[in-house]
Amino acid sequence: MTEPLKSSDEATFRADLVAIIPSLRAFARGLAANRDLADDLAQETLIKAWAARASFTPGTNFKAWMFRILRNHFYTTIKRSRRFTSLDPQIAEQILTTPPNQGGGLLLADLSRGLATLSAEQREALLLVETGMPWDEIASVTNAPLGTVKSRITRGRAALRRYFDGPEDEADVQIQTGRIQAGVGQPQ
Amino acid sequence: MTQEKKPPGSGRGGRRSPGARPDPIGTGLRQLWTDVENEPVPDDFLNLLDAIDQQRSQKVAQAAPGRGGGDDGGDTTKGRNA
Repeated sequence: MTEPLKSSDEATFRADLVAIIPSLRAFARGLAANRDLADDLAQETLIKAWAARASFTPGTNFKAWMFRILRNHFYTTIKRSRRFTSLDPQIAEQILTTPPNQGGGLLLADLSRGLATLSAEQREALLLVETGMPWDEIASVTNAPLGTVKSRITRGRAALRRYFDGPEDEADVQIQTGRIQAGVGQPQ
Repeated sequence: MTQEKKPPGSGRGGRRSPGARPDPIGTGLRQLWTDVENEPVPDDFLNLLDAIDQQRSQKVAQAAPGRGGGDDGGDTTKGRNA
């Protein structure tokens, strides 16, 4: 059993916890899409992290440690709770009824909707790499080999481009619509 | 190109160096992320931190000097009152 933290280490830990809240909320929002669910997820993560503080080695990568806790909790919750296994109904509705803004440049709202059609694994890999996380850190946080991380990023980007470019033909529309209604994102 | 020393992904602004092809998806992803980071922190989070601080100050009170309790989970072998 690990020793309790020294008072100074605990004070540092608490300060690090405060500082990471904005990034934690951003990562949670990327995974969970819905703002309330994302904030629940982030708060659960803070509670778990505090409870596990004695297991964190001071001076090691705090952000990676926190992000790992968050995504583990997210994927565990998915497996248990139906509401995470399908797309948020509001988002699904928007995707079906609001085609992306064609020819007018990329709107953030469109990008949000496009992201929601990706698998969570693709989404998190894309967000982490674009916000500056080094490759090996992404692999560590997502508990995946480097090749898998790169593949998720490649496929995620390709899926986003398909989403914005619009369907090639009618059959494509049906495939995409069917996938959305079935509540599954793109395959990994 | 004097800015090429950093490996991609380690800079604050993301991966692109100046002069690279425009990447609206990458820019958009970063924007989505920083938009959330820039939101004011909701009260629920601050309440959590308060709860943590309360827990810590209770621990300090229990370990106050002169009581001989220490923080080792309760020592019943001191025998001072034997």
